[in-house]
Amino acid sequence: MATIERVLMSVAARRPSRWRRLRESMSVVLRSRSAVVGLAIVAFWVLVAIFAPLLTPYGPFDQDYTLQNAPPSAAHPLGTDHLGRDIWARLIYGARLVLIILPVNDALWLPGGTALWGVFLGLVMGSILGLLGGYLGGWIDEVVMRLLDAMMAFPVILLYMIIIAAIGSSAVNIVLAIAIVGTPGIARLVRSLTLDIRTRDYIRAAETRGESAWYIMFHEILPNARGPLIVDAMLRVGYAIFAMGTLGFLGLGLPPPSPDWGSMVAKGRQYIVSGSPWAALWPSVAIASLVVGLNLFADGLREELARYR
Amino acid sequence: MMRLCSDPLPPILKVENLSVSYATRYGEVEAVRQISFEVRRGMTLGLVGESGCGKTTVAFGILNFLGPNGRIVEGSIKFQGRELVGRSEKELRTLRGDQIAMVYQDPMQALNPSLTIGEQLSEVLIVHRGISRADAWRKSIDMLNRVYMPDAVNVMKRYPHQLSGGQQQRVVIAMALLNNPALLIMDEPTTALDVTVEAAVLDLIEDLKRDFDTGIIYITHNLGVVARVCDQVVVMYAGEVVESAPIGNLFAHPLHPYTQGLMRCVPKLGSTKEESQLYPIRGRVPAPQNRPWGACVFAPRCDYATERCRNERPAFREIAPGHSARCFYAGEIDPSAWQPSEEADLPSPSPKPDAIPVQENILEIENLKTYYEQPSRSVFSLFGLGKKHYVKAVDGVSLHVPKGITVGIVGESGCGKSTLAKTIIGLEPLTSGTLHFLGFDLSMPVTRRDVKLIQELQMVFQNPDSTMNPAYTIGEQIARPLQRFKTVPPHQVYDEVIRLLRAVRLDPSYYDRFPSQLSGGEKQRVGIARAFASRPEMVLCDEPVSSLDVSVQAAVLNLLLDIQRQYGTTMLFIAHDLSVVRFFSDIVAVMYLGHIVELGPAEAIYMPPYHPYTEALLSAVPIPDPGATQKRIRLEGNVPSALNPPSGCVFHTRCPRRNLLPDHGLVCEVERPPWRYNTEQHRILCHIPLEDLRKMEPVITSH
Repeated sequence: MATIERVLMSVAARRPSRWRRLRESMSVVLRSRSAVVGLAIVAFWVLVAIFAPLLTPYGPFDQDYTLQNAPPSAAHPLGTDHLGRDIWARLIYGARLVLIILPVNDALWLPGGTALWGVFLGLVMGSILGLLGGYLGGWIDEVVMRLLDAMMAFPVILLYMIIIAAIGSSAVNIVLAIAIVGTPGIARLVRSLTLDIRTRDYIRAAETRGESAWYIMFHEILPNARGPLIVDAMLRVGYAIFAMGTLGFLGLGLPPPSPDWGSMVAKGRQYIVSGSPWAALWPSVAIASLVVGLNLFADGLREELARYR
Repeated sequence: MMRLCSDPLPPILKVENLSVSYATRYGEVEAVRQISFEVRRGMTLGLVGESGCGKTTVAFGILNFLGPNGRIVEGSIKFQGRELVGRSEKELRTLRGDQIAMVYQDPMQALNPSLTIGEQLSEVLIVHRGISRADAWRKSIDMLNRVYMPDAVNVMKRYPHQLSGGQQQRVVIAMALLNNPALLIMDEPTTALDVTVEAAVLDLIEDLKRDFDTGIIYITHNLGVVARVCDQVVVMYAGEVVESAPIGNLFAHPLHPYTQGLMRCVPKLGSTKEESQLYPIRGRVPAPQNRPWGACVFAPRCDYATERCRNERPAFREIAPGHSARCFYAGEIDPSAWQPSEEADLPSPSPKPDAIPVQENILEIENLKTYYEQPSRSVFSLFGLGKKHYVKAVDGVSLHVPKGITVGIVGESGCGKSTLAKTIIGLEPLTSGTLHFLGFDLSMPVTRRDVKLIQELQMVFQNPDSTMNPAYTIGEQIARPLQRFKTVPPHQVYDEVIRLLRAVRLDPSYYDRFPSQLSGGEKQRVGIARAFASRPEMVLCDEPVSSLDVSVQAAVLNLLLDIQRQYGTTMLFIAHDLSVVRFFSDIVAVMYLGHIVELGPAEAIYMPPYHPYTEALLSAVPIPDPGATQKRIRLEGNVPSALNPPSGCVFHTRCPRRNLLPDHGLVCEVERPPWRYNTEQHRILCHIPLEDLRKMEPVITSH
């Protein structure tokens, strides 16, 4: 059966162009039910974040002192918080901060959300360290991996708090914290992939051409680590959103009055007992759904990739 | 053969009209179509064909291991007279019981690495027979002895990784035989093994057939192995049986054009590139969903195909007693009158030079040693105090390679042939000795060599699946050496890649394809194009054809020959297949445990005087000719560890010829053997005087 499968696979793989390749990989994603559900949830949040101004008449900071801690109504679909701000508006503007824009300072806003930037920076640092350790080996590997081990010895939440407490709380610093905390894990993954890939003959072929270590690491090895890295990065975006929520809850998130999901939960928490749980409930649902969506998508993708390997 | 024909017993296994299909993303694809054969007691049935022909599917069909997407569409499988098709898994278990056993290609996958051999063997008996642990243990030792396992009592206490590949396969065979099965299915059981080990396992299979009276289905792609162990052969092509014959008939009078083509693909041991040619079968095995079902499946690749073959499916009919083929013209075709068709790509013939021309040496290796440091587990070594241990992978090799010549290097795995190549190309640092290429020193690693020097020395790799980077297109990968070495100006790179693709007989449309879209043979061609892109003076080929199917192997060898003749490239050709090396090389070096033990022109190596090791290797090669007789010399034990090689002559622990010397070859244990020069170019590293070596009979005599 193994042989016949291989023949079928090689035929299945006969694709004339990169465009067909992309379509094939999309069809792989769409074949997995959990990936489709996950993709739908993530797409929902991305879309509402992009079109936030069109989806609500309120701004995230607009206050209505006559309506504090109001339950859902026609005017405020998810209700209002203790300052009379519309929760739906704050939620979707909060999604922007996570997924769409990074406010560096008042004047400069970068595209790509806080969580995405954090994971991206972590990927860059982790890939470099993992490639160095995995490909060059020897004492470089020892030093790099022991340092990263030392970092991994800290509980994640403690590490976040140490970093934010040290450098202060702002969007850029949260990005840095996410990147620093994510680096050791990514580096370990890249290193293990590198250790496997470097034994392949095409690496030998590049070495016999006298290619530089830099070329081999970034041109020959890294593109082949892409698949598992993408899946891992998606999971990490989920963790990053979770971490942002936690930091916000602990008061270390984006400074108020930013519509930070975590700090929304923290503030709303005080009014749960007094009969208005909405302000705490909706941001929690938002964090949970986005994290679960990313996890489902990543898991589905990984399963489908493994099946067609 | 007579016994088979007049056997009154019903067959153990009778497969009739079996068709198997898999559900794939192309819908239901028929992988095997209307297969029929039978197996009797004490008979070995060979199932031969290239990969993708459905051999393994047949085996899994019999065992009902088709997986969730496979099913038997039609036909019947009768095991000991009882129908297996259409039964539930539970019914099958009682019908089949422990009466069918299977041996797979890779023994390491069949053994549990965390249990000892004894636990694994006795468990089979305890579970199936319900006998006591002590009894099971004793019976397991008996069985190990019956498969000629040396030191069976102690092997029982070892773990799989502590045994060599050949021993592991013996354990797997012993495990399969413990229940005394009526039918044993072996799927390429020796493909992963060295020739000498393979020979011993094949001997074992022959004995088992006699002792156990078991029916064996032997799946292989190697015609030499078939000739050695099988009684009856079924040739499969693209999911169909195309020919079925007793072994002698098949090799003497192959009826189907596919069988005839297969036989023209393999070099006969002793044939050379000057006096004979390999004729690959053009095209490739069609994928299951592309097979022409209403026609002869082989028609697109057949030289005899007519309009009828393309429109009508030939019946499987008996041509001679016991000899059937699925071809309209079987029996009418005269294979000796066969001529290669016009479009076949064959290397341009070259006249054989009278002697190896005395040319300047392009590569000079003097007393080369490559040692690996073995990390020691002692406490002292933590502080750098312990004694350092070295794996002596290459231990004092001297070799001069004249320009334009092909040097073949043969030896079992672990003899250091790959390390030698890696040291030359600069991937492994050398420990001592000198290495000169084109007069330049090569003793530094490749990263510190001059680009001009790197460009002149390139390599072709073994594994077609990993020789190409899956992330880039074929064109990009061939272009890379052109850009790096600036072989052609940048604006001509594309044209040069297309030219190289044409040179390796690939269509320019391959430029944009990814490696996953190519077959093994095509990938190997691209690997060759990449190696030749910088127009090197010398190319090292590390087992370039050993993982390819025979018809593809022939095509790749022809290609290498042609390119070499065109460019006058010098080659170092590493292989473990002696017939291929003999065919391809001008000079052959036989390596054993880091030493060259015999060196000389190819024809001299394959005739006495031999080094005793060469003699043993030659006697182990499976020859695709059941009429040839081979002396049976089997080496005992395993290749010793290169960490602690034997004193004196490294081969003395296994040498079958030591007794030719006084005192049972005491001198071999003590002293390094001298080089004995048979001719100026042919030398043997042995204590036995040349006169005695000359007196040996040739290993292979064909009738």
